Amino acid sequence: MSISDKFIDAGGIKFQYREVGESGKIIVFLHGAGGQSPKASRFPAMLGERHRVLIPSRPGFDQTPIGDCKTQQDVAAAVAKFIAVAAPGLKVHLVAQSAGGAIACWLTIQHPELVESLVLSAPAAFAVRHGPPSGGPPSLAEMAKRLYGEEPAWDSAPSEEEKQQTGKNAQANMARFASPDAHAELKARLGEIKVPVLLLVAGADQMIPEEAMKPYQELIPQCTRIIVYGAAHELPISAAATWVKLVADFVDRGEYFVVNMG
Amino acid sequence: MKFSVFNGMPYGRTRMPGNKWPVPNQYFEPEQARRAVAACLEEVAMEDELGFDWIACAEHHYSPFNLAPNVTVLASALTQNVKRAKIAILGALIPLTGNPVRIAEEYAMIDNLSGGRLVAGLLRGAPYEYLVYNVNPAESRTRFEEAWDLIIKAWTDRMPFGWEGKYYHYRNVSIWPRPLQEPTPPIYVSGSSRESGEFAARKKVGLGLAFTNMPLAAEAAKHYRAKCAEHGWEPKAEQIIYQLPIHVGETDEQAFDTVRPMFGHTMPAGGLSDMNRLVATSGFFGKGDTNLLARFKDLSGDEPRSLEEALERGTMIVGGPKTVLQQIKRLNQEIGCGMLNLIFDRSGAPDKKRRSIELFAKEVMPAAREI
Repeated sequence: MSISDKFIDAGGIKFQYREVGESGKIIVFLHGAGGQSPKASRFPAMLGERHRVLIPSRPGFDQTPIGDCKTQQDVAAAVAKFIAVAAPGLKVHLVAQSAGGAIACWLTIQHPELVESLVLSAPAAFAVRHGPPSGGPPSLAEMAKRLYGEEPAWDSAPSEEEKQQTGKNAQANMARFASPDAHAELKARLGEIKVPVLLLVAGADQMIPEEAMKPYQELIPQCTRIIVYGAAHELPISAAATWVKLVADFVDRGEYFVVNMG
Repeated sequence: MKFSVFNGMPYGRTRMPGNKWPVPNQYFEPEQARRAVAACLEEVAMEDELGFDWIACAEHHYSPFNLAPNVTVLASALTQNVKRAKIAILGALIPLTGNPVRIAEEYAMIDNLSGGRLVAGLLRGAPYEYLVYNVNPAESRTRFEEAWDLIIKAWTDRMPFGWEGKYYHYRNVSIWPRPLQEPTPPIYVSGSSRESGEFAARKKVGLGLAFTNMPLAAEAAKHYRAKCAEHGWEPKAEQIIYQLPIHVGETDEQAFDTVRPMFGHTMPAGGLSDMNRLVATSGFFGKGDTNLLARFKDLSGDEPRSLEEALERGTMIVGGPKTVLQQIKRLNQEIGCGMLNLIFDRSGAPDKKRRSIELFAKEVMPAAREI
């Protein structure tokens, strides 16, 4: 399935986004620190088979300008405006990968009227960063392995242009939204999230320790944690089929997700 | 050294002619089974009083060798008859049941029922066991490793979780009770294969060597210790278990006379060689285990033909107390095992078996503890 980039004006920001699927419940996927996933990634099409999937580049990523956003709360507010324009009058299912998790949480706290449910996939906010690794930064190949695992689900490896853009996105994200207090304010307000939340943990995550994901389960009233065994950090790419199955099932069945119905 | 006595609730001989597996249960006789159960429970109480460190049991299927297809049911009974020794489940065959969480729950129950005396063997099983519940033997390694990780997670994670793996799928796991022992009971895996030894070293758990011989066990233990060093730790002596049959007589002559007639006869659980061959050649062993594959292709050809050969290869301990002590010293020197798991049912007669156990505990164990 060919996925093309589109643009839409929302709240004074021209959002770059991708859209897959035409009917079904609306899923808004918030990417991680690297920005949009490589175009050859399979998960958008897989998720779009039964749902309408919107994948905006958040302000400051890819070709979406940062606008007036100074904080993650500002970014969440901007994304809320994107949703209001792209899916007017409708509630959506937010699905957030890694660094997108903090934005999704803020959006759900600030605009509960827009969010039907929330999926946090390897959320990164509460990871404690200890500075650069002692042995120097890993090679690109090693980093790709840590992120995507041994068998990434894409039709072809990312292009050089995509790799460069991913690097730029990650650096910009770190510079803008590094949180020396490990997102203490967000942690203090997680209890305000009242929608059903699915917390997906990558069983072989080498980027974010599992301990850093526990506050979500401890503080959000309706949070179900699922470990995806053997998966690397970028779950939608490392374990695409399992990830899509879980996300789609949660979106479709809500609180009945915990019941095995065959 | 420390000493474990294996008691898997053996049924004894059947009237079945020939030598095959599975053993048809038309030969199961309720009265004999009642006696077997009573004898087992009496013996473990006696073994406990005699000072053995562990009372061990294990899961095996479809034969009178061992009436414990669900080993935690037997272990549960042992917790009520064994007041001091540790209860060693060596072990449940975790890839077989399809429900590792149930194993985690049952082991945790045993740890609670025993007041924190569980030793937790999490095993892959012998090749033929894969015929019991129709599990693909080529998947045994990957099923084992996933089941292992899930069991450890169920024991140690303090919040409910779900699990989406290759083989196991759960939306809600939060076991009650947890094991009493923190963070987990002491854990052992069987380690005759190189892959198993490497796995045990990586996970920093003990190694059990059974259904093997002294040279192979020594090689496996050496490989395990080397891998432990690579992973930055050194196993304690009791983290290497060697299991083998034993018979202690008043004198060497008496012990040899008791055991010698058993060579050349079909054992109660015989008939496994063909089944082991079928499974072993269907992908059960990894690429690094060509020796084991070759051995399991013809396991019957690997059996000692005489008592002398068995003693030489360290597949059996037989003799009067002094000779038995020397044999134990040799096993300790060659293998480096700090724990022996002893099978005391080679004499055939219950009174001789009990006397063998008593002789070992009173005449051998005190000196052997100093090894």
